[in-house]
Formats: sequence, C-alpha cells, structure tokens
Amino acid sequence: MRRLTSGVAFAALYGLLIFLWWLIAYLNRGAGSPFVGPVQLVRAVWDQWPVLQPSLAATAEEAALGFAAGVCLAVVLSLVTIRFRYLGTLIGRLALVLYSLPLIAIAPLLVIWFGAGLVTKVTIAALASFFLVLVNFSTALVSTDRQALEMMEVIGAPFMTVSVRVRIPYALPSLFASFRAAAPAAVIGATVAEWVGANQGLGITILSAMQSYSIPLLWSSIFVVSLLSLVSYGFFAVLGRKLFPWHESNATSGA
Amino acid sequence: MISTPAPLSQSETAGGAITVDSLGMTFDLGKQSLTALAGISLEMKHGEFCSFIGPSGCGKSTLLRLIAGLIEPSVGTVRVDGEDAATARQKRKFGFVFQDAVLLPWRTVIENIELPMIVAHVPKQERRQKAKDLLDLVGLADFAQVAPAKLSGGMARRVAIARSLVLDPSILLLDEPFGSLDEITRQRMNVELQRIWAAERCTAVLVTHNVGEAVFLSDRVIVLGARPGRIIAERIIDLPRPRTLEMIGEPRFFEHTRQLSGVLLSGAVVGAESDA
Repeated sequence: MRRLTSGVAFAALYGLLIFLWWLIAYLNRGAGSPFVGPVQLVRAVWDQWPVLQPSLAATAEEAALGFAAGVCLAVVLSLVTIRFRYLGTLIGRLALVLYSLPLIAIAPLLVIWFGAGLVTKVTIAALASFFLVLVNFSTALVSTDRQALEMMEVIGAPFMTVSVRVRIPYALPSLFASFRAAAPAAVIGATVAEWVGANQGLGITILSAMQSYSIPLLWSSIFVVSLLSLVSYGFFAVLGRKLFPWHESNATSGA
Repeated sequence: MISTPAPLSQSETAGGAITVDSLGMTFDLGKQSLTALAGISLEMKHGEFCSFIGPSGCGKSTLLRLIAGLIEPSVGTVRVDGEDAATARQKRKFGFVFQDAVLLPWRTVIENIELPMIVAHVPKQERRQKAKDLLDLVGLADFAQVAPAKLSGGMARRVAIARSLVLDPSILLLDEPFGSLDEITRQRMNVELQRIWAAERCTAVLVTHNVGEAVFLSDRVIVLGARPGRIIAERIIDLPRPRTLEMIGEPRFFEHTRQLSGVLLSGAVVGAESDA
C-alpha cells in the first residue's frame, strides 16, 4: 500500500515537472527559442538519431572502458589494503589528492600527453570512477563484522580463506553500490574529456550544437547523455539487488 | 602447579580441561590503559559446564576470548589439555557461539554449518552427512536449504550452535548466546543447550549476565566483579540433571539465584566505590 502511494506520488511529481517544462517551452515558443518542449524533444531525438547514434556509441565506449579500468585498479588496490593496512591508508590519501584535482583542468594536459584519442577519454573516465570504488570497497573490506572474523579464527582458518569466504563476500554489496555512483561518473568523465578535444562523442556533439546554435540537437544530445548516465546507474542498481538479495535483510542474523 | 590429567583418561572423560593461572589483561588505550581482568585463576574439569556472570564491563567476554586463544593475555597463562590456548585453537578444540548468530547471509543454513568443515578440508560426502546430523540435533532438519534471513532469532542461534559443534570441539565457548532473545525463547534455548551439551559430552563455558540462565545450565557459577574484572565468588550448583523448566520454581533453585544475585549486587557496589 505504501509502495503504491509512493509510486503515485512519484508519477505525480514527474508529471508536474514535465508539465512545467512544457509550459515554459510553450510560453517561449517561436523561431530561435532556446527552449524545446517534451514532444519536440522526442521528435528531435528521432530526427537527429543518425548523428546521435555514433556519438552515443563513442561516448558509451569511452565511459565503459574507463569505468572498467578504474574499477579494476580500485579493486586490486582495495584488496591490497586487507593485508597491508598502512599501505591502504597511503593509497587512500593519494587517491583523495587525485580526486580533488578538477578533471576539466587536467584534461588538456592529458590531451598533450596522449593526444585527443581514446586513451585520454578512457583515462579521465577511469579517474572519475576510480576513487568512488576505492573508498567504498576498501572501507567495506576492513569493516567486516568482528564476530564473523572471530568465528573463522576459532576454526583456524588461514588469512586467504577468511578473505575469500568472509571479507570479500561481505564487501561485495558495497562494491556494487559504489558502481551505481561510479558508472555515471565515468559518463561525465568521458563527456568532459571530449570537450577538450575529440572527433566524435556526445560531448563534442553538445559543444558543436552550442557553437552552431542548433537548439534541437543540443537538447537531444543532453537528453541522450543523461539517459546513458541514468541507464548505467539503473543497470548496477538492478544487478546489485539481483546478486545480493540478502544484503538489506541480513540484519535478521543479528536479531 | 598445573594438573594435567593423563591422556589415557580422555577416552573415559569427554571434553577438555582448562587451567587458567593468574591471568590478567590490560588494554592499551593510547594515553590510558584499561585493566579488564586481573589475577584470574581457575580450573575447569573435563565435561564440566561452567558459567561466568558479572555486570557489563567486568571482562567476561574478554576472558572467553583469552580461553579461546583469540587474544593474548598481558600476564598469566591459559592452558587447555596442557597446551597453550592458541595451539589448542589451531587444533580446533573450541566451538564458539557468539552474541549474534553471525550466519553468512549468502549461504544457506546447511552451507553455513558446512563452512568450518570446508576450512578443515573434510571430504564433501562426510560434510553433508555431519551437517544433516547436527541439524537434526538442533531440531532444524527441515530448514537445511533456507536462507539465514528467513530464520527467527531462536532458530538462527540453533544454527550457530550446530555450526560451533561441527568439528567436534572438546570445549564449547558461549558468549551471551541468547542475550538478545525474549525470555520464553531463551528458556527454551537453555533446555536445548543442556540437551546438546549432554549429547556432545563437551566442556562448556558460558558467559551471561542472566543469573537464572547460569544456574539452570551450570555445574558451577563463577561471579566476576568489575574494574578490574576478578573472581569474587564461586558456587557449585548441585541440582540434579537433566534440569527442567519446572525446577526454576523450586526453592533450591531460588536459593542459588538469590545467593548469586546477592554477591553480584555487593560486587557492583564494591566496584562503584572503587570507581569514586
């Protein structure tokens, strides 16, 4: 019942927002208006699809590769922290410094180093997703239930067994939760990287649409890149729920 | 002087014996240090059921972890069948039941019970059979394939007990295992625990803050005082076994709990005075 009510509330909220959007676009209608209404947007996406499709594919590829690279690095470094706590602290601090650097500011440097090709985009997307995964996973790996660890210790389980059987499985839901934030971050990273220099991609489409004042293309590019971001989030949200149905309900074992 | 029974007596007597000698535990808390336990000496016989009761903060859980060899004492020794505690732990002499059931939520009930046997490299066939036998023992034969999240608190404790027994430990250590259960479930679990302990013929050490529970289960109750944790009294519970819930209403049961509660209360007062 509560679920139904919240569903209705959400639908109403979205309905209201779309209506407001439509209203603003309607009031500002006319040639050269910077606003595009909901219906026009759908039509624009349809019309611009031949342009948008390859751009989407390029950005998605960069984001996916960057995400994969960032995740791999973060997972490996996190696993290292189980054994070497002090090294883990050092890595965490270094990652924080790296994360504090504005990506848009270091992107030009990367372009000079690696050129305006795939490597730059993948690197920036990787940097954008790396930190979120590292912090979440490494924290989860060292905050395993003390009693669960003692339970393994009592039966004389060696370090590797404890890690594989208890520590890592307990931390996996946190890892997947971090993916939900890291995947959209990789999309943003890839888009930002394209702004600095690229041959194709949604970032470059947005940029050129802005420069040529092509309002429908600009809106539809924004729409598609947002959709990509949202889908990447939703994918990991659903996957996490499917893989770890016990996660939210595991409080019962302590009740 | 450590009295180690000759090995030949082990075939006749079940369980393992524990000797604790002038044990002390001080935790280093940076600028301060906290003495959790001081001057603990005691002997536990093979097959004995012994309880520690005391106010929270008296170090009773710490004592249990010292016996299990999970932590190293600051001073003194713990010997289990003549070996030091860490060695006994490596030889898997202990079964440990924690405050929480700590079942791994991604494994089914039977898989949780099998886990210690996987760690101990027990062959698969034997694993299944042993796990089934123990599920029978704790009365959960029909719940083998259930996820832990689906179990009630009492059922989860039964699984935890089954898991702790799976490697045939000679000593069962219980750290307030029923502390978070309601009174009725707790009493039922106590009856179960007594039955299981009798069936397994192991030595059992229970930590609890519930006097009735300690009297019901134990051959001997040891009262700990707080700050630092030390033994302030000891009482032999000579009630016949098996004990039944009806016995709780009898005067002789009440006499034990009354005496122990009195000591606990005076210990708490002494603890409070030394605090000031």
